[in-house]
Amino acid sequence: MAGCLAYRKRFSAFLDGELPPKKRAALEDHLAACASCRRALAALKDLGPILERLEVPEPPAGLGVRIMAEARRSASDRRLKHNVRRWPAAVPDWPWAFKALGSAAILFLMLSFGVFVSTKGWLPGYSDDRKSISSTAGSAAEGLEWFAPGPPGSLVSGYLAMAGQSVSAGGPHP
Amino acid sequence: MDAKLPCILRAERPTGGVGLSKQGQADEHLLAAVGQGDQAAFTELVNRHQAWAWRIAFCFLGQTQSAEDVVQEAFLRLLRAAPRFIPKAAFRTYFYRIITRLCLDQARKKHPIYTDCLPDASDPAPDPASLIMHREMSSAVRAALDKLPANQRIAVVLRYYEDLDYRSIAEAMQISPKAVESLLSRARNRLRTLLPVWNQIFDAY
Repeated sequence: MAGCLAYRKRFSAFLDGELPPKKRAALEDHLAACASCRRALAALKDLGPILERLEVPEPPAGLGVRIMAEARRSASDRRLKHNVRRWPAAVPDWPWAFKALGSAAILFLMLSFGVFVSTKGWLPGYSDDRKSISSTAGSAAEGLEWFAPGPPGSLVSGYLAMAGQSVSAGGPHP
Repeated sequence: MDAKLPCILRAERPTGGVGLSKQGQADEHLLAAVGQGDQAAFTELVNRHQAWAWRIAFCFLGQTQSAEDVVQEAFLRLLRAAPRFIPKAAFRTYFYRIITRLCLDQARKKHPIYTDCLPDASDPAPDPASLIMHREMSSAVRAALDKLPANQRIAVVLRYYEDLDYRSIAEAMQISPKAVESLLSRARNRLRTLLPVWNQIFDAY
């Protein structure tokens, strides 16, 4: 049995094919003669297929993307000054011409909309025409008909009175 | 590399005289290019090696988030070390060493390990007997691995799940091949006591 212990210490290397040829031959000779050691070796040998039953999932989706994102975030690390800081900025890989055209198109649309709105007079207060101002005030005053008249002497009644005067007189006077 | 060039042009210049495509380049060349600021080289390394890095981390830790943290940190360490990388050893050996060290560091934090492979007891859907048995075996293996000391566990993972020889395991763990043999011997004896029943049940499936 003492001899068996010395041989059993080599079981692991034997199973992994790591024993030198002479030691391997000696162990094989012992196994041929020792049933107990053969049983012990068989029990260890069965571990391989059992351990392979461990379920290992695939890497999580997007793992590579998160690694790259974390690498970019770590660009402030001074140890990375020679590599990550040289990476191009994380923008879509469009040709520069398309970027320029896109910016010009957006600017053109914004200017066009501004010109269109100003000519249509949709923005009250942007015209010097008193008539348009008074018509706006009149519209606002007409909208006040939905409000109940305020008590006499109150700010509400005063404003309502003024609005009534400006509609009838054709516009507020400075 | 001309330091006066703008970043985008620096990144697009071919490195190593091999051209812009990274797929055919050796890992060591890619890592050298990473050290020069080549983003595409780093992307290629991530694409090539994230799967097996994940497998090692998950087999060792048994928990998805922890494994992802280890893999992410491993690539960041690669990135930091790239400028100083001297191809004395193969890239894989170098990266195995990084991952092994991170796994052992994670184990030293002594956080409780919440495994992802435990069967859901509340699932009412009936499963075929073999599927139930497969899941229970997986859970039993997971529990047995978690009971091993960290250094024995990583040796088992590198041997059984990465099929590394003793020399490669020794380089990854920075110990001698004799020490690897001793670790695996003790780990196997321990696993045999932790998984005694499965020897017989496995024969039936």
